[in-house]
Amino acid sequence: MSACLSFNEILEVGQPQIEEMQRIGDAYASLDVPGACAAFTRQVRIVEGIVVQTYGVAAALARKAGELSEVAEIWSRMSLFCRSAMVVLSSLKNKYPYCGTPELYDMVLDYKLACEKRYRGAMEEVACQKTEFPKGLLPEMK
Amino acid sequence: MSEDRIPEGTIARDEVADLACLFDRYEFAFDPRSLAAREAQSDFEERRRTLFAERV
Repeated sequence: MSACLSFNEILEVGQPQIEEMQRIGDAYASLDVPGACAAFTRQVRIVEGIVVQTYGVAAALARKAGELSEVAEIWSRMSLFCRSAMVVLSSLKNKYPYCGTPELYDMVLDYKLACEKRYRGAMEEVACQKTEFPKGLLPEMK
Repeated sequence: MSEDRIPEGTIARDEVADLACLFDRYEFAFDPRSLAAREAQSDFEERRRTLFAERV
């Protein structure tokens, strides 16, 4: 099978589930409405799985990337993906405090911080590649 | 002083390889919150500090 997806396309696959979480969250007037927590919890679990899976794909792609700029781009996009989930979760975690929402928010925050750390690392390496070290700072290679 | 002691300012190929292996295990971990990833990062930082203290 030769068909393949870009990382952007993988992110696009996950994005509708984040939007669905917002839709379900808004669909119920309150947590007391029968079925509200069950429906929202189900979607929280779906989004959790998507964030975990997409992060794993990002890590695998970053490991294979040939250019540091590509690595930085992957982590930047993954960080934005996490941010889009956090925006929805932050608006709903008070409305659905017992449906796994705060836990998912914490998890996505950790993943987002991990993305940003890797992005910064890649950018520092890019800057380092362009830096000329003063002569004599490092030993001569034999 | 032992004859096979690595001189100051030098890091052996095996040491670099070990550091690279640890880096790989946490930097590209599929789950950044996993115990394995956090342990690898801790080991990496510990070895980096030790190498700096002993050789630089």
